[in-house]
Amino acid sequence: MMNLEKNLMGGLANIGLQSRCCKNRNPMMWIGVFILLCFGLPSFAGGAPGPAESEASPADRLQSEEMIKAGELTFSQNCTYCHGYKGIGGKARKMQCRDSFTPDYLFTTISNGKQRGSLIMPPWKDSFNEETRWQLVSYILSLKTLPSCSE
Amino acid sequence: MNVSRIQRTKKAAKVAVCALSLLGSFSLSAIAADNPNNWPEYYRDSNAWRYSPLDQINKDNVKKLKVAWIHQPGDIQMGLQATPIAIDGILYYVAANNNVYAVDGKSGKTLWHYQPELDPMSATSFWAAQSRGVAVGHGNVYLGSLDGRFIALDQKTGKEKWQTQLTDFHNCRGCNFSFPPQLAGDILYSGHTGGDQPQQGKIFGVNAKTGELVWTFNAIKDDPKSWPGDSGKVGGSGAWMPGVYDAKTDTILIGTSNAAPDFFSEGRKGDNLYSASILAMEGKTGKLKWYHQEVPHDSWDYDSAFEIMTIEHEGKELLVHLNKGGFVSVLDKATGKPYNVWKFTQNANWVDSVDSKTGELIGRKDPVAGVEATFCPSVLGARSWNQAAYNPKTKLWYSNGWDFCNTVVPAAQDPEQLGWAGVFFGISKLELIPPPGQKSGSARLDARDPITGKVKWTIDYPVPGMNSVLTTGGGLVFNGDATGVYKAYDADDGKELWSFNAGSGFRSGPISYGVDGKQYILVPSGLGGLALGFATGAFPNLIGLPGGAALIAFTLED
Repeated sequence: MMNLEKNLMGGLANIGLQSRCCKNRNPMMWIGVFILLCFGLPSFAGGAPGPAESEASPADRLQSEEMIKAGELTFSQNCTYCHGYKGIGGKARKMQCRDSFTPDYLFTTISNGKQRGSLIMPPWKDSFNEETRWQLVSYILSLKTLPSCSE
Repeated sequence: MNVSRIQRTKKAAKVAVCALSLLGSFSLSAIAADNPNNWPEYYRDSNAWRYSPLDQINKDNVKKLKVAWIHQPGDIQMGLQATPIAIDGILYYVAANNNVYAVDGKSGKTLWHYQPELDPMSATSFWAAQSRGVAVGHGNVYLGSLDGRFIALDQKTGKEKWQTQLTDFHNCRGCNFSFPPQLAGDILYSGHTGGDQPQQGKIFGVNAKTGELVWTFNAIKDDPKSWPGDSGKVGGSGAWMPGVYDAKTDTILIGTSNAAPDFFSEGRKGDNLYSASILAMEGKTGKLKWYHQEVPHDSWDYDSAFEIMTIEHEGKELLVHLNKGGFVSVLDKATGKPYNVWKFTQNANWVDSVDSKTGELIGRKDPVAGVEATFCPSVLGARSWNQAAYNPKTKLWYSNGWDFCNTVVPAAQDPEQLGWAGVFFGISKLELIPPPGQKSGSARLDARDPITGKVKWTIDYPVPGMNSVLTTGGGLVFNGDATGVYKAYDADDGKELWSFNAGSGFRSGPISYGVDGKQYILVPSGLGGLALGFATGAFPNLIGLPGGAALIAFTLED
């Protein structure tokens, strides 16, 4: 639990903005910074961020090739065994071509794991830092843009 | 075997128990196996045949099988993977998360239930929830727990009698027991999972009456030629499946897993003893008598952990053992020397061949770091851990098999950076694929001569069979697939005789037992397990199949 709180508290500052701010020149990100500074920080400073901040902050940079590539390696080494190569589907259904995933849903599920019916997914929050988990989110989201999704 | 014969045999067995119990624990297990109504240990007998001599259910009447009762353990995580034990009409089995049940074999009524207080970390390991059996002896039911303990329960009440923590659970990335420990006289022994984590495989021998640790065998040989530098500290090699015990010679026969990291093997140049080996050990001391390493310096995840079957052939006791790499070793039981090696899989490209007289690997194609390559079989082997069966009447070996491959890029992985539930494969890419030139993987149920491998009959399985095969004195072979369809076949020619749809697939060890003059076929249904997540690249029809957990007893209608 402590780790989760720490992750959520530090999430926007460490992951969403600081680590990428100098490399990513995407104007949309700076708009996001402005919105966050105006509306996000007061509530952020006052406690754990709500879903809105978690969703908004990483959304822009999640599309960076660097993030996706790093996430792919972590996925190949840790997630393939249950979700199949490139999320082709395993015990659970396909992760490819899914429009319903949101960053926050994926981050929370990766962090805390999931149990449903016969399926059990371990929590990864004690194993992977926030950066790594967001990289996984980035990679999984990229699976909806595979060429096979438009076939 | 007709009803009266079953009853006569039961009475005879009781007399035998009374007469021979004076001989001590050695005789007890032998007597239990001699009673055809029982399934007293994991493979039923020390030959690991998975053969029930009961013949009330036979080729003529098997079509009249009906459900007698269903026992539901309530926890379906990872399905129901158990091989139940049946002794004197009472069944002992374990469901997910170490839920142990004693069940009346006639009615399916729960007699007692036990679940240990598991370390919460056990729910987060790679091997979470998976529970595959218990052992019974000395008036106890023995459990290997998901957090690395042996636990002894009173056979009559299910009350805990002793428990011993054996693995350093928190510091070895989830080394635990998913299979049941086995008895070697007064010693209760088992290795732990597994070959795919950065840990040292060990086999523990415990006093079965007190829980006191008697011996520990390190499956990582203390020899820098075998394991250079610190490579042995993370070399895997766990003996994760049940061994068998030969009471005549006080010999435990047990197989070890692959060496780790699985594909990135440059850091462990050497033969990596005793990974991927069959071990013969003295039961009382754990001292090694002989070993036969099937895959020296394994670099493909080709465990030797599967069942070790004993078959008498031309006056000699031989061992029959399938390695995940797709070759069956036939060994002299006394010495471990190869008698024959035959190819089981249809696709093996990691070697050109295996010398049938020496077991030597000829023409190895070792993975190279950073270089993408396709190897067949895959990490899931030519078959999974679900065991074969042998019928002494037909002299045939019945086994599921599957054929597919994996494309891998071997790469260094820092064990310190590995997730708690991570796998130490040593890869940057792993994709399971159909064999070259094929659109999907293939699977089958084979009936073969166990010594030569000659095929008597074979049946294609569009959806793989992932349960252990059962064969009986009634001339039958029972097998199910991952969708939940369970079938009986004529053991002689493979003709399908009966079929039942259980609604969820099989990843367990069905057995047969008798009570009060009736033979039962007991089938744990409920799909689950890790292989389902891997294999979908070759078998898309495995994706999203439903899980479940139901212990189904079949018997002939009145």
